[in-house]
Amino acid sequence: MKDNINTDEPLSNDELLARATGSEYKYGFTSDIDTDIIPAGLSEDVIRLISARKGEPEWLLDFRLAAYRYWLTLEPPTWAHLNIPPIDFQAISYYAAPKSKDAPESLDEVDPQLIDTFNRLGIPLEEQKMLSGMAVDAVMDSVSVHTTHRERLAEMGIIFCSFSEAVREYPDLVRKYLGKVVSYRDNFYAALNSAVFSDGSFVYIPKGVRCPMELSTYFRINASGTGQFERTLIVADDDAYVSYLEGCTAPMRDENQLHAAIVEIIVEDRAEVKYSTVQNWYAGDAEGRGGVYNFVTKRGLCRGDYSKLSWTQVETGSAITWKYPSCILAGRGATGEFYSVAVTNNMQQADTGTKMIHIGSDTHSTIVSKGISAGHSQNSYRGLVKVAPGAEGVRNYTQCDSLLLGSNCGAHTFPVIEVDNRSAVVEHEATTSKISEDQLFYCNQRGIPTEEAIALIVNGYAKEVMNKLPMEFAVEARKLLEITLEGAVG
Amino acid sequence: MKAAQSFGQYLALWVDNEALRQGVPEPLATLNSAGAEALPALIEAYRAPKDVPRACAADELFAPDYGVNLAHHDMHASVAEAFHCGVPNLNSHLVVVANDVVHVSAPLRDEAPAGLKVYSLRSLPSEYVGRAGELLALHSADNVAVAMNSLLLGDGIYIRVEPGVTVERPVQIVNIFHSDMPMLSSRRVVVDAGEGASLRVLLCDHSQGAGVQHLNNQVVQVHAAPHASVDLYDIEESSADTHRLNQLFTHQEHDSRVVVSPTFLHGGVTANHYGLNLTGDHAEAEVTGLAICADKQQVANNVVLRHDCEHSTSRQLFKYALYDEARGSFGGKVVVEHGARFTDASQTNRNILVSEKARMDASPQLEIYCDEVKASHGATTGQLDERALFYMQARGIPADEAERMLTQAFMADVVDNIGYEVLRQRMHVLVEKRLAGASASCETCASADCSKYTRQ
Repeated sequence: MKDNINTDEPLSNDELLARATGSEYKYGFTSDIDTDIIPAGLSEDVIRLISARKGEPEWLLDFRLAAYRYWLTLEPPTWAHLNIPPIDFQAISYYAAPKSKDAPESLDEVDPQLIDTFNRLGIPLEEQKMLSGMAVDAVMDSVSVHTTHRERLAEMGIIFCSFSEAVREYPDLVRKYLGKVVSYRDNFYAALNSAVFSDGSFVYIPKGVRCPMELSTYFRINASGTGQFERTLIVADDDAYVSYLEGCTAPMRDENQLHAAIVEIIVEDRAEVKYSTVQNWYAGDAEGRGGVYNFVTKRGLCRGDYSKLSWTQVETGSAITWKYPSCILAGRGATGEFYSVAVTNNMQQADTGTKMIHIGSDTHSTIVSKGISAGHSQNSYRGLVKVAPGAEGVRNYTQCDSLLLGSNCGAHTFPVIEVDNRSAVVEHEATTSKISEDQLFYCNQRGIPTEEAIALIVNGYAKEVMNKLPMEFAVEARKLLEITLEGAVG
Repeated sequence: MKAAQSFGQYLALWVDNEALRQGVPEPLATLNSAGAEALPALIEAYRAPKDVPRACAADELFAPDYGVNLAHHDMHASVAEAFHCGVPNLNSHLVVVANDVVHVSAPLRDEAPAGLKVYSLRSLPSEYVGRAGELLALHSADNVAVAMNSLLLGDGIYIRVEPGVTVERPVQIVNIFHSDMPMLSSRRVVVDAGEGASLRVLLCDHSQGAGVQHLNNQVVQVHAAPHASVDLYDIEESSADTHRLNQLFTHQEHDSRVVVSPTFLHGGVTANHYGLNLTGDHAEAEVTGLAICADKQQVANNVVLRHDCEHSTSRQLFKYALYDEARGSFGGKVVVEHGARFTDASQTNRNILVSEKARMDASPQLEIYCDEVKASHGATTGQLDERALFYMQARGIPADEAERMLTQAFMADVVDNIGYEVLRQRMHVLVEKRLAGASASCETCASADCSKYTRQ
């Protein structure tokens, strides 16, 4: 594809644009794995069935049922700048587990095809990847497949396991924290997730422990007609530190798949959590067929004094993204950060941003959001910075920039700032512009073809956010950015 | 539920009192009916906006059981007369609106400069009925508050500037409220600037007496033909019992220029909505506003600026200083439609919270569907620079005075933006006085302050 870049005939904008839509989704394969799917549909019976399959205790079933009953009273939210076709929640299967005999003890027992799938994704499950020192919990469809490095982490008292395991082995901890940050009454999709969540990851970092490696989860929707409803719960006790990575992919499918996850993070005194996401769910084809609906509720509670939570996200996939990783800064001197790069191409729609709720005094937050839209896509930043009356000395800085590539896309900014304390200093800045002709010309003049120049400029534009990603992820994210935008400019 | 009650009571009043509103002339009769027709569906569909303070939402503003002057009694001619007597040497073309009754001043009626026509909608010469009706119909039912205005409008002002005419002296519309009982007044101003015409309009809002709550539901329409230029200054200095819902709509053809400059100095609850439409290439729009709010005043400014042409420029600048328990809200949305290439849009909102209990909400939004665009927005909320305050105090300036000077300097660029020299100088004085805590006495401002806006 790159070959004809330097041909004598320069490509027209339309051709370049067309090429972008032609760039293939690298992760569009399905794995032929025996999957245990329960029939489509949602009812109390289905929830009881999910709960029974997973051998859950009574309290968790009650939690699910309460969430389900509440969900029945809700309507899907319509306030976002998104055009969401009606979703038939009865046509989705709410549980799809890869079939296996018993819980695997070692990698050898895991279905080789599954391992192959993850290898193709480049997930560091295998030995050579283990050397990179990452602990991975891979979630396929809904069930956590394997967690590496368990023993080493366990020595330090760190718990990193699948959610189901945590429910079995650390029921008290899970019960103590589940739903404390994102209640099932939070919103439509949070209620749905609370009712049907099938698995996810659980992380507990005990007091004073600095997690020696980056913890990582990889999500993949594999079976057709299923939704993925995982739940991640991270607790960092006093003075703890953890860096957590999350990656997502899904195979190419004609129909839309639903992903409605919840991430809850609790940060205690002086603890720090860094949560990084590279989201690359299947975005649908050039005409907007298929793709994943990514409706995610992510929120962290910095309830400890001088605690810190940092969200970094690179959003390149999904047909529709509805996602607002937020920080509730309740402890004195707590810090919240949000760094985001959201790229949309073709018919993708993204409405993403953050909420920084300043409740404690001397709390600080930084928001840097970079939106890039191409093709016929719509990309919105939506944010809230709220300063409560009692929060003295609050400081917020928000910067959200949008870059437009092509004349058929849209870039929107919807920030809301509510200041209820006079000592607060809140700043918001935003610009929207098209890629600089001067910069392109400069690159062209020095022999860099337009396509590469765009990649260069976009990477430079997003650098501020990319730099916040852990090394391994940064490389992947940069590549993703290039693939997503291949030639997408006029 | 609330909406049905709030708006429904007035619709019912209008329907039940057909006898009272006999003999309404055109184009008002058509407008009234259009409002009545659209209201039931609009009331049904009404949802209270989430981004403005509750008190500024239409259903809340219309909730009280206000009296309505359906029979169009001219109860306050005396006020208007008194006003004329009290203000000599007025150098503007004066129109006084007492509650909702329009009095075009005698000189303006009889000796208006060539090319300027100012009429009450009730006594419109027949050749203008069609044109005015056409323009009114454009905004008969944009939303529930506009429809309420259309329904209850008993009188209004139509200003026409013929093509190529530059009107030197501004047209000043003084809105005075005076009543012994709670009242809802509906006001409408239609500015119709012909090709290449140029006009300045001053809108001053005042109220006489205190203790009687009233709602002023106003709609202003500005139609700027190619190369026309319209400046609209809107000054609100009324009592704490004043509730105001003001909606302004502009339509700009190519190479036209519209400046809207709202100033809030004193009042109760104010909700301003500005819907600016740039539909002709090379159109320019500017909205610059300031609000100094104290006590329990609430001010919401909401701007929707739509670019639907090439090479258009817009600029927004809003500044707030909030004292006591005042609450401010700014919502600004710039929409750049598909194909609106070479748009240059900027939006700035800066706010100072002076007191502990003051509160500010800001929502500066961009909605862009075109790539050849330069759009930016910035919003800040904070305090005065402590170092500057310290510096001034170190040089012997008392703290409160230093604070005042800095706040005045903070507001200065908005005032400087006023293109009409006399008014600009007057505004600097008014802002200074306001910051010094000089209470805006409505008695005097109708007869004294207002005259100073235009005294040469």
